Amino acid sequence: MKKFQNTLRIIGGLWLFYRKMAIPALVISILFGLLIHLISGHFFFKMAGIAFIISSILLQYFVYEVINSKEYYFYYNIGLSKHLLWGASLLVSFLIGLTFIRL
Amino acid sequence: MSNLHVDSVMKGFGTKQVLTDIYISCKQGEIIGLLGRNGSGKSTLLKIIFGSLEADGKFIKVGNKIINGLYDNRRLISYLPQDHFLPSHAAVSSLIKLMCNNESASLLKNNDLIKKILNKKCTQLSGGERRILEIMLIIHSESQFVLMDEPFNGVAPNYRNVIKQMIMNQSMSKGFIITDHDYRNILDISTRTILLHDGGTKEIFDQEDLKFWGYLSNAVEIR
Repeated sequence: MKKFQNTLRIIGGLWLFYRKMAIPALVISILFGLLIHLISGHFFFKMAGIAFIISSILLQYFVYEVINSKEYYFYYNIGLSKHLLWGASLLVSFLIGLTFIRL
Repeated sequence: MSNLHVDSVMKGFGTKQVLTDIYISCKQGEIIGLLGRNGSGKSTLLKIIFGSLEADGKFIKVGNKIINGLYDNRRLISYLPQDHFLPSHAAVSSLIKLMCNNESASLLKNNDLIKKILNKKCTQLSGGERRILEIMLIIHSESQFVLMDEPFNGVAPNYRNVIKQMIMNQSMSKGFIITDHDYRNILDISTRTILLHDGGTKEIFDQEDLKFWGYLSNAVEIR
């Protein structure tokens, strides 16, 4: 039971870290995809997917490494290292981006 | 009972050697007050013990477990940094869930100070409220040892006493290492006091020791 609660807490911590830049990245990618669609009339989802992957990486760097680097201490205190936070976030961003690209 | 064992800590920045062969031990039930002048390496030492700062050399152990970095200290050591560190977009209630076990979470949720802010996000809190929340979360985390860097800074005097009482209550099952520039708060609650001086540690037994090592001038009287 305790192990299950700890796993939930790790997932909750990863989600808290990721969601801060996920919604802005999604908005940017949809706007970018729309713009490309308006210009060329092609590749809406593909361009949105690529824009999502790139914007989420850039936002993650800007939000956590430049503006809110102190927030890492919260995640360290719940046992999440920077490598784990970045690794999990990049993986999720790639999966979401790839889903867009394959639509 | 576990023991936090910190030995052979060395750290330099450029040509300046800040910490030279530091030794500190802390048992559960102890509150160690760590004093030192500005730039003496108090924060550096706490970060090294926590694992967020690389040392030139160190040996840190909790019980039989050797702590080489952040990954090893999970649920063993918590750290309160000087600056605000809670994610600004998070709700207070979700932060409590993430940092505390069920027992501590319900204790915090029933606290008069926390009740008022439970449904707010961190961005909606004042600097003081945020600091008190950070302190309470760290004190009530699951860790066996708690490192606190200037916990009383930015906290109103009436809440300082509340926090001191909380630390003393929690010290029955945890060990604390606390540093603060207001040494009176430290001396009020510490069971042992250590002074960082010239990169090393000096055990402090009374106010004469603090004057002897130049931390206090002879004109200052300790309560």
